[in-house]
Amino acid sequence: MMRIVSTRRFEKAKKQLGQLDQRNVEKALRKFGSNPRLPSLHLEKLQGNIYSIKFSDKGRLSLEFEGGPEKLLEPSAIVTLRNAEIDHDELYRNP
Amino acid sequence: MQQLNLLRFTLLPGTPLTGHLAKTAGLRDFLKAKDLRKLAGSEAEVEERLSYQKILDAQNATSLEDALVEGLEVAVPYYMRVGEIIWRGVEQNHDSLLHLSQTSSKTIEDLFFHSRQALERDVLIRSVASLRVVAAIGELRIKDSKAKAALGQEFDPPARYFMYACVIGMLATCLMKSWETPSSSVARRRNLVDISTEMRSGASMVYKDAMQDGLFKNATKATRMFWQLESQEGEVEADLDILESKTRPFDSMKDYLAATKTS
Repeated sequence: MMRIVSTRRFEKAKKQLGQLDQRNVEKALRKFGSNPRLPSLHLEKLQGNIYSIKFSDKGRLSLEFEGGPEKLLEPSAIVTLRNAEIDHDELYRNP
Repeated sequence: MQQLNLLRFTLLPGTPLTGHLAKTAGLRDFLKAKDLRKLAGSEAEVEERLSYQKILDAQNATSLEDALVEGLEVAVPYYMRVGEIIWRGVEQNHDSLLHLSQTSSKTIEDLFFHSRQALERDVLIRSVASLRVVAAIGELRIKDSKAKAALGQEFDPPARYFMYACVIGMLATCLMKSWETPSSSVARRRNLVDISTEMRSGASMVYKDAMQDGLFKNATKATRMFWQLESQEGEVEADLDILESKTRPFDSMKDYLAATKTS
């Protein structure tokens, strides 16, 4: 069973999301807790020990853990919840 | 071709920093003694001509802008020279350049974190996130250039992008200078906020250029989002929380969800 560490940033980012997305984050985390390799989560390595999972079409949250996804099933696994973001793509496209 | 590559090289956040450049950007492991001597000579010259103090102590928005413009006039040719020395130093090898870029970015970021008490939290977050975005995109540019060079295609760096990198590099140096000569004056504090805001808008334009140039075309949505400034600011904040133990532990995901459930 994985242990969880939540950063203040993650709590702040979650609160800044709309109600629906907040519930989507919880739903995604519940799924991640039971099976991190579920295809619908789109678990993906971003950089170093930082990974992302999908909580909605435009939303991703970032997590940190050591040793790769296969280690997540070990009792010693610790997952740090880092950030939750909605895609800001429209800010970077030409009008 | 060499000249064009030099332009691209100056996009690296490690290269534009003055003030013990070789040490600050971790270049000592990559360059020969003669190249390090050339860099030191170039640095001494720019240090003599560029007044960071004037930028930090400007009393109003107009004098800050004037000081920044004046600083850039001195800094841009310096950036070109540093780029040339380093590009030759790594024997025009893209992989060496990539390695150097990754090492120097990390070194500079560590310096910012190490001196985090000297800057307000928001200033630190904006600055480090901007540096990370510019570094990541600089590395994408190196890989893109390597691929184009392998195909024998001509490389054409956007001049705008080069200019943003110069601005960001000089502004980062201003922030580093600010903790060498601390002062609690209102003008200084306001200027540091303005400098980090300028860095942010520069990094934002660098990201926009990368999007337009198709640098993310092979990246996943998650990766593209991760390198947006808004996401990186969140990541820097998370790093600071971890560093400062602003975290809450839970024995399981079930416990976490029970404690934080949205009503």
